[in-house]
Amino acid sequence: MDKWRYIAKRLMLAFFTLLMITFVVFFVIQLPPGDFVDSLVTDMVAQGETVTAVDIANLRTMYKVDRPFIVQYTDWLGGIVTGDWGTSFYYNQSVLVKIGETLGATLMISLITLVITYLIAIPIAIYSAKHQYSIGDYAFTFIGFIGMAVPHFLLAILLMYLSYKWTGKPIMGLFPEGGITSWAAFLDFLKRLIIPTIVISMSGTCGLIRSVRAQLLDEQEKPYILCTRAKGVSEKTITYKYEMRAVINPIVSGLGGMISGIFNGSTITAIVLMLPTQGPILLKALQSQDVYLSGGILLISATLVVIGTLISDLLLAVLDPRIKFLEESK
Amino acid sequence: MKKVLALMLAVVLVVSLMTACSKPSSTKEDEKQNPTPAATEATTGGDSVVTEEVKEAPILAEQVAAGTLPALAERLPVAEDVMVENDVLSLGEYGGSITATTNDGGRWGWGPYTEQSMFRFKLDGSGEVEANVCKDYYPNEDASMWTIELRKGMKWSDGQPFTADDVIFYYDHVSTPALNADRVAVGVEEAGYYPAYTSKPYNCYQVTKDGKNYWAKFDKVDDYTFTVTFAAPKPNFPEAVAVDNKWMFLPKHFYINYVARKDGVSDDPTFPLITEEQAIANANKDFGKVWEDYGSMGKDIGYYNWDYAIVPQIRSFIAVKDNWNTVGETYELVRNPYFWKTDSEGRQLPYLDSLKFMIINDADQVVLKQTAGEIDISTVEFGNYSTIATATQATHTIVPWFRPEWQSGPALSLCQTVQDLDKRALFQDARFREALSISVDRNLMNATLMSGQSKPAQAAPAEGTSSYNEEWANKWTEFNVDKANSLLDEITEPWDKTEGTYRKMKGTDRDVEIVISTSDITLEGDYITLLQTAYKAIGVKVSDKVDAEIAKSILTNNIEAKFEGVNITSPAIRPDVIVPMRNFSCWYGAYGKWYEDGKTTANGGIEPTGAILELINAYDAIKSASGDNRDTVVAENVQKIYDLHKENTWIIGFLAPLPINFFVNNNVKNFPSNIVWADEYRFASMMRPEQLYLAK
Repeated sequence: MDKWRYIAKRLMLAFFTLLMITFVVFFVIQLPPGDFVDSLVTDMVAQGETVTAVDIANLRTMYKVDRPFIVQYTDWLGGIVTGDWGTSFYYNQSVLVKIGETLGATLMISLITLVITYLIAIPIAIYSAKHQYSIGDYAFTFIGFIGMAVPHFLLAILLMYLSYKWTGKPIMGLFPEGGITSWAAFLDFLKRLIIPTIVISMSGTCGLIRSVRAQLLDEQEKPYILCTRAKGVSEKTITYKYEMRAVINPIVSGLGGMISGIFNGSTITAIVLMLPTQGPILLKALQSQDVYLSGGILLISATLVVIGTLISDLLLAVLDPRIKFLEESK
Repeated sequence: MKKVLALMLAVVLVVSLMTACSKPSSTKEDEKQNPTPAATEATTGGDSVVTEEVKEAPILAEQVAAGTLPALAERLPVAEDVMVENDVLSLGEYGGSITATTNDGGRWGWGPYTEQSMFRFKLDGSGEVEANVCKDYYPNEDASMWTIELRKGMKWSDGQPFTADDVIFYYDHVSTPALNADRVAVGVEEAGYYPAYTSKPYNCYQVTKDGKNYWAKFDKVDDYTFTVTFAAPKPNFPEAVAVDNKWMFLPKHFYINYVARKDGVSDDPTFPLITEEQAIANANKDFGKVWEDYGSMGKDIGYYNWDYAIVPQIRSFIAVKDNWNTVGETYELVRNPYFWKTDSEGRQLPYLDSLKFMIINDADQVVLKQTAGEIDISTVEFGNYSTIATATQATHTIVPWFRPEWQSGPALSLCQTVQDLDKRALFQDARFREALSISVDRNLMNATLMSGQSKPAQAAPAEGTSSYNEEWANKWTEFNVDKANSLLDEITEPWDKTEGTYRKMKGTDRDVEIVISTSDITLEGDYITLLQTAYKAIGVKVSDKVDAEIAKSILTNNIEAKFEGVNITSPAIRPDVIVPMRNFSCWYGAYGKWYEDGKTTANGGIEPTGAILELINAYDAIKSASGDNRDTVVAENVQKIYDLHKENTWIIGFLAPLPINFFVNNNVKNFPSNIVWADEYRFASMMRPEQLYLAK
């Protein structure tokens, strides 16, 4: 029964957080001075078109940006609930359709980098923890700090430049011209995957190495490990059966950010590397004050953080009985 | 039709025979694939050699052979109406693609490459137009009626005939707003008002008579001839169309599904009456978009029609996929199989299979691609010139074009209608502008901003252009801070030059301050810093204001100054940069609004006096000039406009204009040089991309 109360409590909390998020999101994207019509008019004038005050007023009515904030918000929220996320002003397309267009590429890149992050980070972290203060540990620590400290976009630019220096062609974009229609095009596509994968997974991998290593070291000192070791249990079993269980905690609790990261697909890196992911679309939407599109993307992203946190909370409660105990003793 | 075909066959046969000996022979296989009337067989020196005159691209010939495309003769206009492109520098070869780049704003980024206007400007930079889409055009005696002849047998890219109906449909139902019986537009507030389908009320179709603007009337004479009648003479009609509207047609057979006709006629089977809702529903279904209102849908598909691959075109290259707004992708435009121009040997243009545009927003990514030599045709920003030139010296050639600019680097434009009246008095005082001009060390500016590539000059027509005037170019360019100070002493409160203080405006205790609006501080920040330092020595404070919507600030007369260069071919062609005839430039501010609103102050316009009024009078004289001495009147008044600018120097320039440099892949042939790069001339359309070809 307690378990259900715990879950219900979390769900309620998540619902109100989401409601607040919708309000904040809609408020924040309306914060910059001007609206979509202003940027539209600026563009039109820049293109040499004649725009009169009457035209501007008509456009405001047409795009419904002349209504009070709260009316726009409730309309939008109503639409979200009923599945009508509005129309992107900039693209003249349904927001959901527009988001769907880049969803495939975004998910693909994110999942690949996610898998790579874990595949690389966990073995290295285990090695580092088991060989603390060895040369290998120092080397990985050094690389780890560099990887965490260098911003994504800078690394992207550097690698792009190196790709040009080494191959004579800067590698940008994800899909080869004309799509993947042949084996050669597929190889080209794989080649294009290298830089985004390295860049996007870099800081995640390095961060994960640091936290898993620290957790393992922490765990190694604990009396139960000493006791287990004294009993003659093999080091392998100690590491993978006992210590690793404790390591799951930081991984699981980071699920919220991770899930939303998968959806966002590293906005700035995507822009620098011209990846056809959600990032550039979000930037465009924000720049042109396309409220419904940017609102939609930000909302999904925020929702995923909330859902991710919810899942990790629930998972942790299952995985780590201490959390349930803490919750019950409140 | 048979007669025409026979005639065409004869012409082609003769041309083929004449050139047969000089052409490389081709295989029988080729001939089999190209059953066009142009194919012929010649015998030389006793050996039987099959010589084939290829009159169309092999790709198209294959489609003809496969039966998926009509034969060339059926795709081109009738023989005598085919446009033979005499501008081609050398005869080209078919095939290949060239790569350029543009940003995801699309539209104007690539539109001009393929644009075909009714009348086009000649390549020689004379500012004269010639027939392009039309075959011929001529006015009546007083130029109040123009007759325009189209090309018989010309077709849209979907194979449907292009006729006078397409022009008249476009004019009557797409580009005119609601009109009264006398063809004066219905006022916005009046009953029955509706805007033009494209939302663009073109000036080129209107004449002013007795203070009222009358819209022209288009009448069909036959399928290939129509007339345009004005309420008063319109001697510059072709030039005005070439600048203002450019194309003047849309495929009626396609647009009848998306245009709700406003005249209520319900018995026209070629254009059935549909409601706006039906039009939107049709468009949303066919274009895959979600337009919610008729106005924005009309503007998108009517005005920006080339954005959509689904719309039939008469352009040289046509889109296959609407991915022009997807960064990182390549937007490809393939040859229009129905293109209506040939080279002098009767071979259908374009030579290239396609134009490819890499969609890139970030300037640095473009530079990287340019450095790697991946872009066949591109212009290079000044700062990256040497990097790219060095990296691509083996593969690319630099081809200079002219920019009809009056300056390079910054040009300071002081709003003559600035709201603060004390400031307005200062800005309108020539001594103030002179002081601002002579207190800047132009040599230093040239060295720091332009790596010494330019030279000190006033904002004035460039050397080498017909309107160049040495005295003007050198006006107020000497560096003389003392003189500047003594000029300012006459018009401001006395200033003791104490460090950190500024002059006060006459009769006030407010600093003499110029607030420069900028939309991009990263670009213009250097200019501002330079002026801040220079003007400190004359007690004038310079501040910056980051304004993302400068155009709107100009509309509302809420701006003091900005960096605003002049880019103009001639005020007779496009005046709005140097004549206050619409709400557009910062320097004349609300004076433009006054003119645009029919010379009234009703919507915030300010009535001009003195030299500005003279500018407007000169422009009005150009607009209404007609008859035999029209050219003289136009030339005189163009000169008058230049003289007024020379005398008043409303826009302060510092450095002389530089050419625009194209980096062109050595394999790309027929790329013209020394062409004027201007909006009026439609930028890249002057490249005549349909005549570009790749060296094999």
